Amino acid sequence: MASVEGYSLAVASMESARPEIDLAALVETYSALLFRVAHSVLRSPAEAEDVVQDVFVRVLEHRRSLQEVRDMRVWLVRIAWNFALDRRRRIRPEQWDESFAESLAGSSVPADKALDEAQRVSSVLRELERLPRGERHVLLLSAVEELGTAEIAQVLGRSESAVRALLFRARTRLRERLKKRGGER
Amino acid sequence: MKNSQDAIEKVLAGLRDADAPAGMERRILEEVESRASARSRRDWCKWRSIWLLRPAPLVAGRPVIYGVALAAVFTFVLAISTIHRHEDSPAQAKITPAAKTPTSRETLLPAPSVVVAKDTQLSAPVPSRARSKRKINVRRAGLAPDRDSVAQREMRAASRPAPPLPLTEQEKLLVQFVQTHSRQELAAVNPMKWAAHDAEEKAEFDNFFGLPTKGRAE
Repeated sequence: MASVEGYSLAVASMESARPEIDLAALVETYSALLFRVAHSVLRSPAEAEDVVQDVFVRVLEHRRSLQEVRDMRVWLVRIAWNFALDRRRRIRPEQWDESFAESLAGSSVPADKALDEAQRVSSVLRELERLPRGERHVLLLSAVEELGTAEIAQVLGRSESAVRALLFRARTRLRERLKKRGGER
Repeated sequence: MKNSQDAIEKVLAGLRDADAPAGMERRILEEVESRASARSRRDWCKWRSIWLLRPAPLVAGRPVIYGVALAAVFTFVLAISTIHRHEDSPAQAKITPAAKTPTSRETLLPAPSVVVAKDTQLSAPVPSRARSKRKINVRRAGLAPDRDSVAQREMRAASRPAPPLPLTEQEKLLVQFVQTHSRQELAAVNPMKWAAHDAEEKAEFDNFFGLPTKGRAE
């Protein structure tokens, strides 16, 4: 990942020097990151890929003004994040959470155990969606390993301390709700 | 507690380790390139339509353009000639009354002054208009009108009264005297009153000393 980071920085510096943006280099550098950002919201590979595609189409449309973008990485992540949220709001794909939970349960374990694991993951995803919006967003973005607290703060337009507090509250609340739910069962 | 924590970590790990589908970059690049080419084609079509459509009205409207240009040139020439005529007209206006009434000008005294007043009224606005609104090219203005008309204009130009001369020393003293002295003093300056006063004194003197006057002797 460090090499990717270095490459991305080199591309960013090259972009600042050149008048035209090399879109192929941008796709190569950022598509995986943007895919994970979109996937954390949508939990569907196909939908996440569409979002990444939309992001680069948007880049193509605004390629004249890209020189004014200070942090290309954060800018792209913010676009992907907003596109993904918008798409999820429009589609509300609950069935994608089920398939994602099944994919996480794995095929190497026995079927009954895999089913139980899938139900647990589904309940986590359900509770995650019930979290307050700020806490949910911070928790989802923190799942993307490449993003640090500072970048999450820039994407969400909050301070770093607020992001840390929201992340702590989100984890605590989610754990308590799952525990309560498990106790009710 | 442990189960829920494990489940949360599992979900977050699943989101973190989500791999992009194989060939995603290639598909995205293809899509973006197709969009870019479509966009450039659209731009080219737009420019081509502009390029192709623009000559058509030019060709179709060429006679109209020539006509407009000809009309503009004709209007310009007409305007120039009108301006020159305006410049000459005051002189003609001045000439006309003078030519009509030569006898009255010779015989009657007030007639020339009236004519001059008329000329002044007629000819006064012309130089001011020429000076203020349009700068006359001196070389062109000197060559364009014929010299006779200029000479006639200058000859018939209105005679204006000369400016008042400065006061002489005596006049200045007189003015100073009038301004500084009272009415009685000014009245004493009057020679008629002085003469009347002298005559009265002389009469009193003669009456007192009994000198025989011509009337009394008779």
